[in-house]
Amino acid sequence: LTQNGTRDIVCLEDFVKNSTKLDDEKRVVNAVKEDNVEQVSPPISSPLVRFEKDPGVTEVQVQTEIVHAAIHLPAATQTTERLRVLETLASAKIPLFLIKMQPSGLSFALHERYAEASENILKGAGVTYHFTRNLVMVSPVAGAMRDLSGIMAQIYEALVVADVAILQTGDSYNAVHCLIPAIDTDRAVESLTRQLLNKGETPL
Amino acid sequence: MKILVQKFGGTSVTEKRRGDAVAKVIKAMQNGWKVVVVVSAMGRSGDPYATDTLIDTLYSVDKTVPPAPREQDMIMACGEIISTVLFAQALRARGYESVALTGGQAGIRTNYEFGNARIEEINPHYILRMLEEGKVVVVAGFQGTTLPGAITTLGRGGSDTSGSALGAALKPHATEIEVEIYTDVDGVKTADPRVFHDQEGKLIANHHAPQTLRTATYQEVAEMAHMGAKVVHPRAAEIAHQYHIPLWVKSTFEDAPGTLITVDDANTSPDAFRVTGVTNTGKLAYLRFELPVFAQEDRTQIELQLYKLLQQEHIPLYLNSIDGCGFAFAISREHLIRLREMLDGLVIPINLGGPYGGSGAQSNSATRRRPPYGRVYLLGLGITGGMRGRAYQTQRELLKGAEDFVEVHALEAEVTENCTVVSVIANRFQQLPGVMAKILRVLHEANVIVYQTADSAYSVSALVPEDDAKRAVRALHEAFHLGEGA
Repeated sequence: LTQNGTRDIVCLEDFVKNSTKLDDEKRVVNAVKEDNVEQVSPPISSPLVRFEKDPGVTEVQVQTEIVHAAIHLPAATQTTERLRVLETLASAKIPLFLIKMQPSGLSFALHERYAEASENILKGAGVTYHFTRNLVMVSPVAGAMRDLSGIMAQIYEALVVADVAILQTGDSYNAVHCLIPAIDTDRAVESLTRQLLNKGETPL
Repeated sequence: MKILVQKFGGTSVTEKRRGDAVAKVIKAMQNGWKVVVVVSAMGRSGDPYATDTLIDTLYSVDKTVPPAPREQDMIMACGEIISTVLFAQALRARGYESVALTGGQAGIRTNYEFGNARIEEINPHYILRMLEEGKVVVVAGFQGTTLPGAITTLGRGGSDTSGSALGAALKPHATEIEVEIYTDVDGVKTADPRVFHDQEGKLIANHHAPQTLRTATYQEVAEMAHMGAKVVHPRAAEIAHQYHIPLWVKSTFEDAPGTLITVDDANTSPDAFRVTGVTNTGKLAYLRFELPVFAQEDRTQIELQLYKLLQQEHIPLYLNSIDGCGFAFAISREHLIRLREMLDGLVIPINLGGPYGGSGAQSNSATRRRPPYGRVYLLGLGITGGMRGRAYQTQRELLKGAEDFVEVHALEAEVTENCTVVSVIANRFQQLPGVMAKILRVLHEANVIVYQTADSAYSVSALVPEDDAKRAVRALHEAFHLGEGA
């Protein structure tokens, strides 16, 4: 959509919401008269305060200063080596996320503040690793994300259109997480917002 | 006035068990509450007025003609309406004034999405008036009306959602408000008790039975529900969270205190960082696509094309991951046959162009190119064990003729069927280092293979063989000391 197109849609939505609000107010007044009740509450929600989130993405969150670690482990002892690496990092109280079993070993993300300590631990453990720094995690958030077919296609499309490389993905019930280069943050958020947020009630 | 919203599920409002539910209402009134009751349709599938039975009745007219969504919602809403009237009558028979309301009469207005409507607004004035007159208000759950008055149903968890939303709507008019969700268990459990008992109902040796949580946060409950626990529906928890409504989960048939669902407050709650429960959900198939080393730059484009195809077929995907030599995701197993039909033998073109330039705006008709004019990837998605599908074999032969003009690469998927997800609900997972390590250690020692993992702010999940799921749940439940007396 062009920016003008987007603006037109938003205006149309506002128009519908405002019309609805007026109708509602009339309806409440009528209801009050019919029932002869002196003190009657108006509807407690306005068009801006919904009881339920609309299906679809409601916001795009960004977590900055992320490092991605790829750990290469020998195939023969991969299961036990994965455990050894994770337990060693856990004993040093290093929080990890986006933890993935990889054919070549293991990968995870961590905050930059833990990167140096993690590197020292991994060196000490004698494992081969590769850290990719200067990353962010962008996360489109929606209610019941996993029930929304097509959301991954739209997220990928938004990032591909913006020429943003995706290093890793993860999903939870209310978000899809994408690890991308920090330098691309603004472009990614702008594209995701345009692709996912400005769609009114269109189910994804 | 103190207002209590009590929601009773289908098993609590059957003729046989309705008396227990009515007793809960009377007890609340004796404790000074004004009570709004929300009821589901009576019984479960197969019972005369259960929702499934009503739908079957509609289809019995002519199975070949799908009903209009609007009319289907009308008949589905009848189960709750019948339940409402009978519940109100049961109260009347015990000497309590009551009034039965449909969702629309209770002021619940929804959008137009028949079958899965969203509550947009509630005008509670009629409920308030009835409460002020001393009546118990019995509202049909799972339903509302559109602005012009068409009946809509709220989809999964609809009655829980009705209860929670009514609590939110009544809150500004109450000195005190609470919502109680009554079920046939005594609260939110740390795991499904059925997993811990044998066929004779005896507790499996060397295990502690799941315990009922005294409190849980809205996020924990929403996560547990999404990950397979049959507790409060996440929609209801989200509304209660948004409007700060204390939400109780209790048993209709016992006097146990139940579980209070409240705000997650890291500053005040001693349980802010904790493991809450273990769940299991999903019959999944896991697909991993391995790309040739030289093709890594095409990975995103290939993924995009695949995901678009899945979007067209309305197939959600889970547990996405990217690795150094490919990508992977899981789908519900029910979609696997369709997916195999779609993907096996599929040709994905990348940067395909003719002799006079690439596709799109980059083409330059002044320069004649030499082949190859781009790349195509041929997908192979065979049966478990790695055998390629028939469509792949056929396409492979056909594409031999094109190899003088385009690069043709095989892209084969390894399919692991019969998987499921076992999740540990861990409040603020990222502040709990070592949860994933512990999960993998426990599963390793229980001889459970882990295909993939996933984590979010409130859970850590492992994709495991379905046959091992119960053993995995029990092992994790023990390891995190979640059982009674553990």
